[in-house]
Amino acid sequence: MVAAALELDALGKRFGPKIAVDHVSLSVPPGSFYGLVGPNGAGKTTSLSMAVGLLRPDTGHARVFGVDVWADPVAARARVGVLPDGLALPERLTGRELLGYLGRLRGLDRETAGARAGELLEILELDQAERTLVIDYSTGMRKKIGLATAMLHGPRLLVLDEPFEAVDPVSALTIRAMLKGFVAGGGSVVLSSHVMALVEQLCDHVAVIDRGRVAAAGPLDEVRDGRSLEDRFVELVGADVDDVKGPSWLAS
Amino acid sequence: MVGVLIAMKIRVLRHSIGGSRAAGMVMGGLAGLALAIGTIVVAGLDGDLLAAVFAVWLFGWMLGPVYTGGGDESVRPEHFSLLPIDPRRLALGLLGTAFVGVPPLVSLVAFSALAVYAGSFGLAGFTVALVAIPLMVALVVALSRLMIGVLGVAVRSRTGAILAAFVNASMNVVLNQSWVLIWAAIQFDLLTSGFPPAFSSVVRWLPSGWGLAAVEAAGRGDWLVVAAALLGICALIALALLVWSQLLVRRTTTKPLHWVPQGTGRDLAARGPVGAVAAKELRTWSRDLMRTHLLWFAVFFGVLYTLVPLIIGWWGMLPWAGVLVVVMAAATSANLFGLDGTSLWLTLVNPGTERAEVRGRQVAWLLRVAPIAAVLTVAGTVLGGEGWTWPWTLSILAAVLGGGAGLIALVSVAMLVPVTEPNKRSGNPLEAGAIFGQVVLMLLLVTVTALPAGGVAYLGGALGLPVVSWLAVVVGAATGAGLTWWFGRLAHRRLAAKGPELLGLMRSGGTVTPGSGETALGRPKVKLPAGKQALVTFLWIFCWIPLFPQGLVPLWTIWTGSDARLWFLALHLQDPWRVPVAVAFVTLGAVMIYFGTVIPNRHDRADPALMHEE
Repeated sequence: MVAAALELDALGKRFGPKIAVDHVSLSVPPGSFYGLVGPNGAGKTTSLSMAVGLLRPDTGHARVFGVDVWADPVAARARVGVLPDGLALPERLTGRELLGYLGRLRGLDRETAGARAGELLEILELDQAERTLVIDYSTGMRKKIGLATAMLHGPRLLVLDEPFEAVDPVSALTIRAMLKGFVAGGGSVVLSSHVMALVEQLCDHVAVIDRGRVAAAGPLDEVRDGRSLEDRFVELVGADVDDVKGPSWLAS
Repeated sequence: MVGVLIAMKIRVLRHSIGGSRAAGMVMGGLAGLALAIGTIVVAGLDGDLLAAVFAVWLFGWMLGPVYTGGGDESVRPEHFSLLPIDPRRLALGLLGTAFVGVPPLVSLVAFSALAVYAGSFGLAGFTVALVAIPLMVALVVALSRLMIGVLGVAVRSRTGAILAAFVNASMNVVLNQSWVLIWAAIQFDLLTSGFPPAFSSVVRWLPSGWGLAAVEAAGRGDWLVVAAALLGICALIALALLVWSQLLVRRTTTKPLHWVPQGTGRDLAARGPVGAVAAKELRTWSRDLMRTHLLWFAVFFGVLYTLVPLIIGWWGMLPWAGVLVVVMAAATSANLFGLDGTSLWLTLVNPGTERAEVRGRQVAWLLRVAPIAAVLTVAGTVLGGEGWTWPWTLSILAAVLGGGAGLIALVSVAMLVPVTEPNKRSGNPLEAGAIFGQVVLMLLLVTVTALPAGGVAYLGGALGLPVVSWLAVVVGAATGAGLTWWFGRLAHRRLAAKGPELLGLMRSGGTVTPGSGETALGRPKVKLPAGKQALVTFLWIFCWIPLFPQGLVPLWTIWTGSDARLWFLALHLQDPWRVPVAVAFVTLGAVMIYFGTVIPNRHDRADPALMHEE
């Protein structure tokens, strides 16, 4: 059997008294476009951070193509591209410089790193901002340069935390096309999002996370069970939207 | 990989060096070079002394990042947390970037003193020195990195922040109070009779002395010791790297837990807008690790500073512990608005709350600092004071408490220093920003606010009238209250007028973008020509020498009638000249500060190019 592109095996994390992630297990098949949805604070970012080696889990394992992220972090990181939430970047470099250096740190030679940096900047339309330092980038530009760092080394798996947040519609279309092409070529994408319509359009697999647990997971059609993803989501997380009212002093 | 990281750091440095930073680098480099040459001179004099000077270099490297606000974080481990790189290799690479810059070069010159010292130990000694010099530089840089790493991880909890404040304060006190050690050295008659054997062996057992020990052993032909010393240095470098790489892993794969205590100050919050701000501030003082660190630093600094002279049996400093705590707490709190970052927008969208924002912060600061300072002052005066000390300490305490509360408000809006946003801070106190200049200025200003009270207390003592002496307490309380009120008023008016500019300054973080010029407080600042810039930097760096050690300290010594002379020029003169010379030095220092401020201001106003740019 082929190893899953990404496998979370009973991952758990506790912050003080609060259990942020409670034995989350997921399996992302190779070649799938996997959406991770859940309310705010459900543990999506924490789970993804633990899955890619950015936050040490209290329990459980995470594997990238069968390589344990915490036992063999070097091999695992080489196989995955990550766009973390609120990412740290060397702020006083231009986009091209940043990609060039990171490419060489990833083991690419100077020419390859330079060529890939140029191509990514062009596709993501960051090449107009040639003289701008990362510190002066807008939120959307930061997302795009983060996406570029994730793709630079040609991984077979991309793990993206809210890749479309604060990105303008035109750039969003570009990114979607890039990701679709990547999956069509055999790559796997895991992304988290709040936008149900987007997940429904893009993804073929979906997992709903609520209060640190997996509420449902599997192929999109199985999870939504003949309804829209949004309705199914609301049902799964147990929200009662019909009764919601505005603040009394604004309702008149 | 080391090469790529170094290239990356050089590029980052090139993007972030503006005119003033470059001038600062040159001046700092020249000052460091002077010290390094001094070290080489010492190498010709005495081995014990050289070993001691090397210990000071090591100490300076470990303390330096704490002083300059952040060590060098231009290339952070977080930036590489996603790369498939082994932590030990990353640590090695980041260590490589630590060698880029002026300080390592200066240290290389300093440690080359070993080669000079080896002159008297033959060819063998010289050869060993050539090996030992780069190793020693690597050692101090590695230990410096380790220190930053330890502090960075330790301070992510409240206990850690307080502990780090203790360590930080002790090291500062040792540097500031080194005169006590000199004094002790004179008392024990070290300069004529040489260092005691115990001292010689201690400075050689310190890692900073291992290179020296190796050179000496080579001269004796004791190759076992040579090997042990050199391998010891290598082992220590390796150990530092290993521990540091583990710290890097912890830093990038764990999250700090925030300490949430039970609510305090509910009653306070009920008392209108000022009370609400004060309650918010009190909570922030105990929950924001940076603020916790800064406050406890002041407390430890004041206490330790006055305890150190007990080594030479002098209790007279104890009564001033409380005052010192207040002065230092004011100095470290003067970036009050900067520390809260862009949360200033909350004040801006609530017009009319500026006054409450400033007054509440003043109240909270006083509630935090005053009780500790009062207890320390009373306890210190009981232990180390005499009857006549009471009006002195109490009046000056009242004056600096009030002056400090006023100044922190005014300075924090008038010369805000942008720092890392609170939600992006790792909890590392070293991220407090480039506040060194602000701290020094505040120390000076707060001291000035104590002058009226001190003057009256002096008058009372001189006239022998206890009534006048005690009147000083009233004067201190009055100037304190007046300054708190007046400076606070200036502060909230400025906040109301310049709020958006302050917010903009914090947003941009004082960024320098290539081609766009420097921005500060909403309008472009005119760049000084290099010569004037160097002059201003020189004035600001060296004005403290005539002002404090050659001016105020000798005046104090003359006053208290002590007969120690040390390196204070005025004290080596005959009587009619002692006071005038010291006063002249104070004046010189003040004049230097005056021109240091005025030259850039005048230039700013006079430059016609500004009109075209705007």
